[in-house]
Amino acid sequence: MKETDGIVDYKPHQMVLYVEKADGAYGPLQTGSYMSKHYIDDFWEKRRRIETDALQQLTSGTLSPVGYYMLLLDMTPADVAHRVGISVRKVIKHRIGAGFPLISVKLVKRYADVFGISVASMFCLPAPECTAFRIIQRETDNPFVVFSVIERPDSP
Amino acid sequence: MSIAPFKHTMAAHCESGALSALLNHKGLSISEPMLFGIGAGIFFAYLKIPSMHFPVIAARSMPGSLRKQLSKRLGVKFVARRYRDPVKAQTELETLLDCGIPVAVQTDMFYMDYIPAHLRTHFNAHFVVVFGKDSDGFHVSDCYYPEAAVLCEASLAKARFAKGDFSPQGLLVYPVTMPSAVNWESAVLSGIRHAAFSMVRTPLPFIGVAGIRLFSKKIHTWPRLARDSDHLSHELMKINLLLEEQGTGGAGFRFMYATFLQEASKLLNNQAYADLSKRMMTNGDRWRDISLVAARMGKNRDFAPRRFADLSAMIMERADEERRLFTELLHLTK
Repeated sequence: MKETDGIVDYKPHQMVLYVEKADGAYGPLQTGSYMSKHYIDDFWEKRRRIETDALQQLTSGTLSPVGYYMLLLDMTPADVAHRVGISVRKVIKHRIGAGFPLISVKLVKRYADVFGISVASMFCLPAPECTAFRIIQRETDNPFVVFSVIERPDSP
Repeated sequence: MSIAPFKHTMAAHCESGALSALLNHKGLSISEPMLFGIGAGIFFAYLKIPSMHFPVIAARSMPGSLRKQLSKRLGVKFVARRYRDPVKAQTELETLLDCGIPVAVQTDMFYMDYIPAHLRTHFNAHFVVVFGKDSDGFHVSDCYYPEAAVLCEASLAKARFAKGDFSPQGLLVYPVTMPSAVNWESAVLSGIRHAAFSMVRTPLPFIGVAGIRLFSKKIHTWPRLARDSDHLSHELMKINLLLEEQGTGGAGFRFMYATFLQEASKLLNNQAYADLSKRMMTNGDRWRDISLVAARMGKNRDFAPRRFADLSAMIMERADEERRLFTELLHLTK
């Protein structure tokens, strides 16, 4: 690939490509991500559809919070089971609404760690129509408790 | 609490980037492509893993393999330790940092908080160099990120002890002994021979050139595996991500390997490697065409059987060309 073909002006997502320079030597080029620049809108569109669909299933009770976050993160029961340290059969059971009440809080914490969220977020989500503010969770020394801070989106 | 002087640089690939940064820091001047080539990093596999929804393609050798091959061919001795106890792992890391030793650690990329959330996924074989610690956290050089970053202790602990495929088990790596003299020619030839052998002589239907053929044959079946059109679109666009964006240097490491062959040609003073380097670069350009076609099919939801047939034919052409390329490389190094 010629150096000129590799240049993508996209600061938020930088990467390194190996290209042919003007003098014929091959070497690294720090450039922007072609996919992020040209296809990110499609990614967000798909993501919004998945979120809407998953939220609808979650609020109707067919999907549990475990299933909801698995859908958002595109994780399989086998992967989640391996990471949480339980059987695939159990994850499949916990994934549906009826299976979730059987889980201990300790196990909820392990699921939350794999999903990269707090335990609170397994039970409470910001309302979809609430766009004027954002809710930030601040960790405390107690792994089961977080402080919720309400911020305006434009605040630093 | 200490921060070692360490030069952060972006690199194409996390493992080769982290290792080359550590070796350069220790005084052995080596480029990322040279390290990748000597370590026989180039590869291909088409895998159906139970923990994945969809088949995955891999264009590089197994995580950790680069270090082992380098050690064998360059004579660099690495310390590589895994841990059962996260506290002990963190304590030993801090002790090394206090001694001013930058250390590569294997992590789950999902917990690298400095990377935007939408770019983070659970991937257990992401390597970063940790070069210091202060009250803000660990100072990290991640070659996918433009600047050195700070990662809190809890996130690093989670990242080092994530479970799942390729679980890091707290792995930390650093070079301890550098060779007094390196036989670069022998190392380069051995690295090429190893890579070429893996690509054309491995007797498994999903590895090397056979793996590319399998990919070409199986891509027709992808529409049947997908939940819906969004899912199929996502998986097709992931071909582009896996080949171009996720730390490959472009074209599934083929551009980086072409760069290595060009460096090898100068080192060995052999024009044949320069010619193969050009062909490898052109081969990479055709892989990039495949990525772009797949991304466009995904974005336009263009799932006509004809499109899959075209994509399959393009992939099969790469299999044929890579068989020729790697067979020639194998003969050259004999």
